[in-house]
Amino acid sequence: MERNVIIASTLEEAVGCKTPDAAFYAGGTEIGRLGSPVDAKTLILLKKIPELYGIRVTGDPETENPSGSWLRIGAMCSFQEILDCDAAPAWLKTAVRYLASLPRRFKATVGGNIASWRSDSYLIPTLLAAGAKLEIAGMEGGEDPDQNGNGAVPGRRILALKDYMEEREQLGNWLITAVYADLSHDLKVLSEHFSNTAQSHAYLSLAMGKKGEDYRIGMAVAGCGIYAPGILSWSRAWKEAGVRDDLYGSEEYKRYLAGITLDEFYERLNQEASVN
Amino acid sequence: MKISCVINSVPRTFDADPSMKLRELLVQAGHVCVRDSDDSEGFCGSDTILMDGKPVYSNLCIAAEADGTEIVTPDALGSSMKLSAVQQAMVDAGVVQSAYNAPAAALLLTWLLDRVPDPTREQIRDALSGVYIRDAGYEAYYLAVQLAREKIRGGAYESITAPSFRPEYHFIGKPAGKVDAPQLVAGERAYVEDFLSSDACVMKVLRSPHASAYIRSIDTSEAEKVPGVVKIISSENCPDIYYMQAGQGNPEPSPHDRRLFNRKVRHVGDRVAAVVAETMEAAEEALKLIHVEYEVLKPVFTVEEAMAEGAPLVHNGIVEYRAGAPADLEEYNKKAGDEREGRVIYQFPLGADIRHNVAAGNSGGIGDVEKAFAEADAVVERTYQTSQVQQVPLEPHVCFARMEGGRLAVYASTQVPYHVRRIVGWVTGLPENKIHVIKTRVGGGYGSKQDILVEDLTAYAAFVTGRPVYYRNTREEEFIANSTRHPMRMRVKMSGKKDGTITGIFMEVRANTGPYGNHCLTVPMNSCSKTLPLFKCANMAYDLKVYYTNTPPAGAYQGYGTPKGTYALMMAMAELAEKLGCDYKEMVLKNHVETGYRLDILKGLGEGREGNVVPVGSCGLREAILKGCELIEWGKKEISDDPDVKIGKGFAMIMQGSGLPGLDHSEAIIKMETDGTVILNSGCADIGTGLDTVCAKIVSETLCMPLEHVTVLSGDTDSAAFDTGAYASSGTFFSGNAAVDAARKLKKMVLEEAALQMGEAEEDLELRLPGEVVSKRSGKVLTYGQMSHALCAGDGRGMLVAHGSYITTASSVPYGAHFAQVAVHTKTGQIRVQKYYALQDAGTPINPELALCQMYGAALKSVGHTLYENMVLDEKGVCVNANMTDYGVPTVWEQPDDFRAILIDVNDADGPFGAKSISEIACNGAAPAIGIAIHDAVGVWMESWPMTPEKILRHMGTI
Repeated sequence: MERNVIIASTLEEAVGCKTPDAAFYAGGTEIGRLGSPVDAKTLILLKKIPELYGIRVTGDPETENPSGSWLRIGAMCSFQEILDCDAAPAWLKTAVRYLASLPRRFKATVGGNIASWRSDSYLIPTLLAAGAKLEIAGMEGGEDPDQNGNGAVPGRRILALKDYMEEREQLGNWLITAVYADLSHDLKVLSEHFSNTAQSHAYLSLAMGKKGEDYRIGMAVAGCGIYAPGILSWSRAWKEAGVRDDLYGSEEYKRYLAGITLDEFYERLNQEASVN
Repeated sequence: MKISCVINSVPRTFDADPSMKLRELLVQAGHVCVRDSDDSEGFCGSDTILMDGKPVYSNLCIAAEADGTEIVTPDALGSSMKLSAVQQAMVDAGVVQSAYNAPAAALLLTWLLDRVPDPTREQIRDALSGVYIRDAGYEAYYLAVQLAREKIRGGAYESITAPSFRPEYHFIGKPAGKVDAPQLVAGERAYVEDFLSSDACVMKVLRSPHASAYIRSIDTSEAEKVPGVVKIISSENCPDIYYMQAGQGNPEPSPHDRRLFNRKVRHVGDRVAAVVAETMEAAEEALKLIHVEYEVLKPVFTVEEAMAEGAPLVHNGIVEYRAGAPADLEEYNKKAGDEREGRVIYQFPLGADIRHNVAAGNSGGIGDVEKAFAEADAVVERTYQTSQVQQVPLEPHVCFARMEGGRLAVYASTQVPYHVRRIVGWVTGLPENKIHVIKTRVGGGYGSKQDILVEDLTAYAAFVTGRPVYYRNTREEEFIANSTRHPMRMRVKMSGKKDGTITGIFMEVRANTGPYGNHCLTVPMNSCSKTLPLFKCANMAYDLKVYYTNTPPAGAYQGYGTPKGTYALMMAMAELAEKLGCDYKEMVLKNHVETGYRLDILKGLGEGREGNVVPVGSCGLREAILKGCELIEWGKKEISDDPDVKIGKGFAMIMQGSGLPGLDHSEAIIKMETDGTVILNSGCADIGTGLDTVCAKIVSETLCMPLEHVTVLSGDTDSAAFDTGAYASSGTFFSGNAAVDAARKLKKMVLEEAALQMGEAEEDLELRLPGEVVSKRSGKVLTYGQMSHALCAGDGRGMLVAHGSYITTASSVPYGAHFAQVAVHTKTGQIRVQKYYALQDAGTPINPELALCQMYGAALKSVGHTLYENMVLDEKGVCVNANMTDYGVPTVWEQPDDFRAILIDVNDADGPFGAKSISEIACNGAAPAIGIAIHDAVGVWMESWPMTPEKILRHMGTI
């Protein structure tokens, strides 16, 4: 299928071009892949926007407290760059590793993986469990261009990934520009990615994070969706997800796996906390 | 859009659609080695390139991304005349076999070594994580990296590439590289798609959305109006000729139960119509405009459904027999259904009854099993089920055909060029002298290219249109409209005495052949004929029936029915050992056959004919068992550090064949060129396994001449003589023996001619390297070049040409034993194969490094079948995982942690230079070895494959 391609060189240009029948094109490993649900007439290529690259330690993006310890990961950073980054936390590298193909790791981007919001996502359950935040940009809330069409300034927001999940439908024209990962020492995150083979789509991805006395769960069930239930409400979320038997196994099996895995995560996180 | 980039250090500018796949742009730019194996699924890695120094899949890049980048494609690494260190190391390690993505693997390893000169095993594994390799497995790639490191660092190898055998020979049994490997690893033109002409039309096939339906009408009028459409072929205008797609000797033991297009569709994906068009866009547009009205029928999907009383019939037309028609045929045919059912024509009786969905059947045995069961100390009776799995070669089925000078030329990726020619002759009506089949290099076959699945239609389309026609299956079509392993249900009853003697074995096989009967008798027969003869048991019986259903088609797959039969028998034996309180190893040792044991069971197990009763010939089975037990420390219980993980061990004895005695047939024509070099025109079909190299080594050894002075041209029906093809493990044994015969005849001619030219007695002459005749009496020397020049100098007796052939009733059986150690997580049911040792007796391994890699590849494939692979159909017969990612082929991550292939040195009396077959047998051991190991670990008997975590948990009662 022949498509229009816009090679954006600035964030303003990329966001300004976004219409409902256009799609941001990050790494292309999902959009360009066989069976992709993206049917956009126009692709907005992001690879030439410098602002979308780079990994650096920074303060809390919401409070701008410089003492906070966060990792800002540009949305166009590839999975492999995260693996190669010394500052990236181990729990994030574990999630990145779920993409078992090296050439795809070099192309897949952190922003693209989140934006595609696949129910077999490599990163989202872990990022939800870790309380990650997103930086997004969109023309809504920005400054309009002048009479000549110049000078448009996109609006920017920082929000928790969990909030992005709630608002995602309304943020269709917004671009994820960066992901913030909490580097606090007291944050512990465990994850598991269940798939038939290493290269198969995951049928169940689970993560649990603990910071202080706060527990967070990230859960992705193939064919159903992505969830961030509370620690006591995961089984209700499971029921509401409407998980069904599929080629990877029965609902009963997947529910059993989810249960024992979350139990084990809880136990391990508590053990580690008590050791600390 | 103008796209400027640097490709392999050359600045290039293209005016291209920015949204096109970058791979297509690169291929158009001449980089044909950037191939496609998965329709942009991002799985196989055949399309790997480096972009700005990073490995990426070019099918997952759009052309616009290339602008301003620096690209390296695999053909930049080196040419076949001058390979890079990595390419050469891959050749020497034996991993360059069917090689469809070998160039991509070479690129990835080069990239790795450029950055990490001394990579760890984990880094190598990660580098290979993006390439799917089905033929050679991954294990020998670690060796390739080691060899490349040594070469780069010190200029020479320190490691041994593979063991050598038979010190008395120069070439046989020595690792010497594969003759076509340099061309393949360098990514040069070799496969069907590389021979396309620019005027080639494309063909696309409209496929049935229904599992069973009559076609009421097809309206192609709108489709025909699409500009560029050349021809639409359907059941309305195709020849009324019934044939089968199985590549087997004539007369075939498969029913002729299909036309090019039928008026009844019998599976989701069945052919409905084909569009030949000048462009892909026109073909795809036309497909959408073909209007088909179906009369949907109730399908059957399993043998249980098919055998049920009153089940819908998959075939219910007129039945004909070419020979051996039953007396009541006329009466039988009165029950035929709708005329759209078509016909089913048998070459001879197969025990079929299509009015009950039975495509074939057979039963027989020796001794008295019922008496054995009655008198036994213990009896085990179990039913095992295997799933539908696919060969999944990297190169999909592909064909290019064109009329050339009034003849039909067919470029085919096939295991059976002569069968392709015969079947193309049937559907076109052309005599065989008007058809030229050119077997190109084959990017993976594993039995699926033993069947004529695309050549029939492509060749017919070229013939009927007079236009060059190119056809290539999509990956989805590979799954739904190709051939697969027959799903089988096997009931085994086995009895024994307390001392471990097996007294009786009964196998009931119920196989699912899908909608057509390709290999419907031979595959299930193999589940008995290549398993029961492992046992020294006086009472054995079998009963098999094969059912038509509406699943995707089944057909030939490496191992035929043997992996399934072995799985059932060895699992039952292990359970019987437990029941009798015997050690499984001791029971195996007590009951396996040995050289000289007369195999009476074979009498009824021919391929539709009476089988040959022969004694066991060369046999390395016991040595394989004992050595394997020692290596894996049989009897020693392993304990995991993780209390939730239990470890177990298992093994299975295995056998196969070396071709089909009394049925297979090979020929070779050899000629000495005027400079004394030799060309062997072999009828054989090298499908990547190194058969050309086998033949070249045989000629070199026999004629005492360097390997580089021998060229093997194979698989070309114009230049060579008949060969039944590369299947049933026949290549080395049959085609190799034909090469031996031809070379020996040429040797005799050389000696006769040399005697004349040298004025010496023939008995005083002998051949010696590097291709010369020497007199033991006088010391005079005549080189082949001198002799051959004289033969063709105007006053000579003409070029020396010899014709060799081989048929036999001898049966050279390869044996072996495969061992597995698994770790089972008792909470999740997940299984990790920690150790896998494949020990096999291949007679003389003519190409040892290639033999080892084929063992790795076949064993890993079978690990895949055992644990992961499964075609899943929904209630309408739609395959819901017809893609690489969901289907579950193993890649480097699933490879056993400790993986060894070991050749047991046995010399065979009938094989060429003592060789037997090697690769097919390696498919047979994984399921029982892993199944028995799982039982050893957690105490459950797995009665079906794939052995998934969920099944394990259910067997354990956890869920």
